[in-house]
Amino acid sequence: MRFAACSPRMTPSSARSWSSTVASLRKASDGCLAGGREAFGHFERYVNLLFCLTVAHGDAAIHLSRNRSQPLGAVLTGGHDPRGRPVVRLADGRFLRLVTRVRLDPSSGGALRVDTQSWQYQTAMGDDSWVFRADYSRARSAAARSPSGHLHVHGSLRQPAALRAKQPLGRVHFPCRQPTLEAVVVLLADEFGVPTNAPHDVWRAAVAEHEAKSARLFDL
Amino acid sequence: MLATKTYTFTRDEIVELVRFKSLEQGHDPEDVFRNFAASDLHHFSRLVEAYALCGLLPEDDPVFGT
Repeated sequence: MRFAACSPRMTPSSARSWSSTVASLRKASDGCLAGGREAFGHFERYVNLLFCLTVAHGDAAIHLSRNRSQPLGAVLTGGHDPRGRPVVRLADGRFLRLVTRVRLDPSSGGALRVDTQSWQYQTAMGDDSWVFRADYSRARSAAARSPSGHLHVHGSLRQPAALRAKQPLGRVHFPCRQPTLEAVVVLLADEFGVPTNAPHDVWRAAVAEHEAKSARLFDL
Repeated sequence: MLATKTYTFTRDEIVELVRFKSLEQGHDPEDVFRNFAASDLHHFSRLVEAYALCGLLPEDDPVFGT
């Protein structure tokens, strides 16, 4: 098992103590955009550092799955066990279910692309405790009713008559073009009060720097 | 600090993992393979992990019935 060499400090501290993590995040982000075989490692490292900087619990884990004979794809999943729940433990004790499939696109010089992504905030390990979720799939058929990227909210409307009969709010697909990981980090920290590991100005600057770059992995 | 690990699977191990993830969610793995091949991703949120793993297989893999 490899352990990322990010800062061992997971409690709020000075900006200076996070400078090496921020620098490593930048390097990993650039490596993702550069594409090529090494992009998968950069992507794994980027996700690791992003969560390390922001909302991950100290015991959180992610893993990358690959096919020995198909080197152009990889799946990044929360947790450490491929047969376990694909969740990242968060600093508030809740969980983010995370599944992302990425591949190298030979038609664009080996650029890294996100083909599938789903993140779901949940209060317990099980899916039934979900609060909100974003789904993205590049491969949806033309006949699919929902947009390729969309957001779900597990709740109820104060004006329930606005929904079709027997349609729960949780099944409504709110369009969301590029559900980046940076977006969910901001959502969790700013709107749901999940504590962050780095000081606000540090992680916010890092997210602002990299979100547009990450969004490019969804394009084309 | 997040623990990270990279797993490198054989084709058969991936197929078995897709079957496991499908059955865990109460779905027939053969439906999952067939739907993935048709880009008709039923029950996407429940089966997202199974579908993502399907994407690690070549498009002409026999499991897709092609």
